[in-house]
Amino acid sequence: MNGMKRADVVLMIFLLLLAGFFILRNVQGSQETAATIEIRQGNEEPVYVSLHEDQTIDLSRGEFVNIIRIEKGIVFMEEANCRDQLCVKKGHITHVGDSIVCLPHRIAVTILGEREGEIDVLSQ
Amino acid sequence: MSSVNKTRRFTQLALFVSMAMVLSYVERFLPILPAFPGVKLGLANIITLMVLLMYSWKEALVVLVARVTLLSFFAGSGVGFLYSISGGLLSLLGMKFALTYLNRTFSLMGISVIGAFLHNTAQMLVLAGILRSFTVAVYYYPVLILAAVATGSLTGFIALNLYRHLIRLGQL
Repeated sequence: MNGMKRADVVLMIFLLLLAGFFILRNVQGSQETAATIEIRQGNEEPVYVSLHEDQTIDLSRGEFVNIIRIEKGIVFMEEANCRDQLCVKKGHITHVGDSIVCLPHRIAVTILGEREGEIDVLSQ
Repeated sequence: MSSVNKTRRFTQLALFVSMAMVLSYVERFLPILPAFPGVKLGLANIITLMVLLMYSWKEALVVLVARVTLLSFFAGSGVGFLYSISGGLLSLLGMKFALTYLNRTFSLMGISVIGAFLHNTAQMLVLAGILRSFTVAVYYYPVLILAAVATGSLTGFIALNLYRHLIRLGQL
């Protein structure tokens, strides 16, 4: 077992390409126009809310406090009482695919593009 | 196995568990990419690799489970345990497979990268499970893959040199 081998390099290049593929996918998605946000919380059915309407949404359940704010197409976690505060620190999100996750409270807020938005309107 | 060897093995494995615990605890205070929570150096993987090389997958499994379980008692959360154990198990499985069948193909660095990649893939799947959505998890996946290449190379490099050193010292 000596130093680095050629297969190591091939493996790393393969993984870099794989990451590149997923990045490309994300970038392509983010070029759609942001239209709605999907809110997933615990085992509840996802909720879809229009991005075009400024509002504050209270997602608090029991002792878990989470308040998100939609303002001029920008979404952010206004308040949360989770331990890590990562969702609040995440700050503003605006692009399709971007998300705010509050893992301790099992909440994911994701921005969706126009297409999904239309489907949502139809299903409603 | 003589009782002396048994004791020696037991002591060594206990030491490995404690070293692995210290390494995974300490790296919590070294967030390499603060913007991406969950990305860690994975230094405890060095220990997993060494135990795999010095003993077998059984000992490596014991050390891994002991490390993750004990650490989650001392300083963990339920979600953290789920991440670590799933990542650890998938990574151990992959590295064991690679060490057995692809030992001539890959160096320890490649094997460590395989482990890191599988570890982070398991994390992505757990994230998808917790959030009940693949969208968010897959969006995050490229960061996890890139991190795996970087951290896997680093821990593999350290393990490789440690391994050579131990051979030179006649410890293996």
